[in-house]
Amino acid sequence: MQQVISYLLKKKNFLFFILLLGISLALTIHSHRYHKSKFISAANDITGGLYESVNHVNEFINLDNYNERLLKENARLRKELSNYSFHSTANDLKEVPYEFIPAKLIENSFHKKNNILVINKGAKHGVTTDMGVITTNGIVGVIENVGENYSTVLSVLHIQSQINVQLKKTNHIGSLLWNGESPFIVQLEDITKVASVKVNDTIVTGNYSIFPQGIYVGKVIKAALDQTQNYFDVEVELFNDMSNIGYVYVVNNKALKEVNQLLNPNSNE
Amino acid sequence: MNKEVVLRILFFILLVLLQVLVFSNMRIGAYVPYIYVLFIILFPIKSNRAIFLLSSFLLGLSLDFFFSSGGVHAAACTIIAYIRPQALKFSFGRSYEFQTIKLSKVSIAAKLAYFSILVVIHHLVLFLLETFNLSFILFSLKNTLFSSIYTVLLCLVLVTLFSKRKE
Repeated sequence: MQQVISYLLKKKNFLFFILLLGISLALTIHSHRYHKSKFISAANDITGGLYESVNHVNEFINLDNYNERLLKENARLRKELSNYSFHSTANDLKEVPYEFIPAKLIENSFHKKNNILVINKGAKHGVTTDMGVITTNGIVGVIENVGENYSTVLSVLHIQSQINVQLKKTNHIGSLLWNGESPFIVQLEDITKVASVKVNDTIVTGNYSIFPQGIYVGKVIKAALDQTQNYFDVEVELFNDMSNIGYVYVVNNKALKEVNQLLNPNSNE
Repeated sequence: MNKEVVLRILFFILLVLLQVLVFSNMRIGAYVPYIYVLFIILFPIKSNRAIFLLSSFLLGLSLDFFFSSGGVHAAACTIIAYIRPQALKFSFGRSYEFQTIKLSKVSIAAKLAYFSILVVIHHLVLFLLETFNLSFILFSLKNTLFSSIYTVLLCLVLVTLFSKRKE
């Protein structure tokens, strides 16, 4: 027994090293496997607060840009609204199953393989995991971790990101993935041969998805049949410039929650 | 003694802040310099090994919080903290244990070797764990090479500037 103890004492630094390495590897594996229940995330007040205070400077520089974008969006919405009021009553508006929570992106990254963004809205403002995040121009990602005041977003530029989309023209569905190369180009998979994808076709968000249907995602820049000749390999250029995002909307799809409840009546979510 | 501990903690915080707020934004292409490894590189040689390991681990972990990256930085930091004696021995010869090395006094080649060993191993572990996928191994190696060059150069510049000011 004494020998064992003295051996352990002699090797205590090595054992301590193995312990620390074990903890960090466990955290890494955990974050890769269940990337929605991560312990280590920037969705807390310390990191979020720091990012936010630095973001003020950044925001000031980009203010012109953001204002112009907002004006454009307002103009587009006004146009749509004038169209809308002709053939519907005001009551219809109340039944919209989506809720949009405005938020500001306070930490952006697009150069890594696993890009995680931080926004300045959290559980206090009604954000929960698995909500979609969009901008005026297109989609940004999906809410991953939620803190009290801040949340992290799994960007579309994350090698584990997978988003349900469809071709605007023919409604054929597929999944949007990222191969980790260009931050402007994502890949579209599982589009069947019959869809006859062409360059410049528009991709929008799909029917059964956390995003409202028909949010613009990007346009096809390359389409070719894969080796099996049954599916298309499609490259999609994002409408959103992921390097310059600024303000975003978090989408709360209330209808989706009901659908999920019907599908899994036992789960609490 | 106490003053040294306080200074070390301040250095820790300073490096984390500098890394997150300044150097993470100094990308060249996709290559980010991770200058916070300076904390491990410059940690006093004659110090408790367990404390050194623990503080390196905590350094990595605090960056993981900022980058939402699981335990990737913590693992990389713990590994280079553990192998640092070997890197010291390789770069400065066996004598490093008996005399305190002043980084401003060793030859530039030895300094470059010491910095490079730790930075390359750190970056390699970091990028391999970050993608966690063997199909991205070429990307990880390429990223390790270029980011390491960038980090080592910046670290050398920082160390030179810092030691100059002191004299």
